[in-house]
Amino acid sequence: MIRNCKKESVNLAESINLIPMINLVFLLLIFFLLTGVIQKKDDPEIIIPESELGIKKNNLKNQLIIQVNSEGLLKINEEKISVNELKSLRLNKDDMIILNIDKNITIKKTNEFFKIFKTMGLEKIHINVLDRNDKI
Amino acid sequence: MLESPKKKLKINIIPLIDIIFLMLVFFMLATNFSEKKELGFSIQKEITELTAQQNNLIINIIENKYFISDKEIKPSLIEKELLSFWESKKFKNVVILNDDVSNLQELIFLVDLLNKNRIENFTFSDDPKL
Repeated sequence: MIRNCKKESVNLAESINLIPMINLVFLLLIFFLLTGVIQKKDDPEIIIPESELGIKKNNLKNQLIIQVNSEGLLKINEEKISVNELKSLRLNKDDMIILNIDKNITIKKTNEFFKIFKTMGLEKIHINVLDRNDKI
Repeated sequence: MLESPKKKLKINIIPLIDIIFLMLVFFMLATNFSEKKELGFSIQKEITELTAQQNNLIINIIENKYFISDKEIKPSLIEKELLSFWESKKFKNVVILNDDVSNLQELIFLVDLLNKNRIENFTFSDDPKL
């Protein structure tokens, strides 16, 4: 009896055809490899604004990403910084500032940050936006 | 006694499946389909440079609502209204003024509309001195 059971189980394992599953998994893998973009996960606190006319990002070396939440708290590389620390940053005119700013922050607060960047000698600020057409 | 040389060799594909599954799970978790884009804001232009001139079309954002000439305009109609004012050619610049509570999303919505309709002479401020 025991011998028969063993024989049946071996036969069952041999009878499962794994090839279609491997094919499917490979297809899924290729799909994710080709269509996806691997990028750093955003701060879950920050909901970035939506825009129709955002331009595709250029990953340049001299860019500085500053996170700003809805209350105006600043973070650089996951570290909280104060407004005074922001003012004391040494930036070149060519440096690219990218704000990962919450869409619910007030325009008044945003203007305050823009004024700070202007006093630092910057001419242009970039804001990360979510393509409105991509929104599901 | 000796095994026959014709014995079939079987390749064990289970480790291969394991690795592929691990890769699949990694890509499923790490992949982001909604690609982020950027919107550039020029901060060099002084509002006084524009407001010193006449012919400014002033759009007020008050409590996340849009007002042109003290008349509230619904977001769905603002593009049409804005264009009718702009195409009358009485205005040379657009000035967006905001209150203390309106959100950035409303400003970006207006900036999108202006850029879409190729209105480049615009500025924004919360400075009430106008």
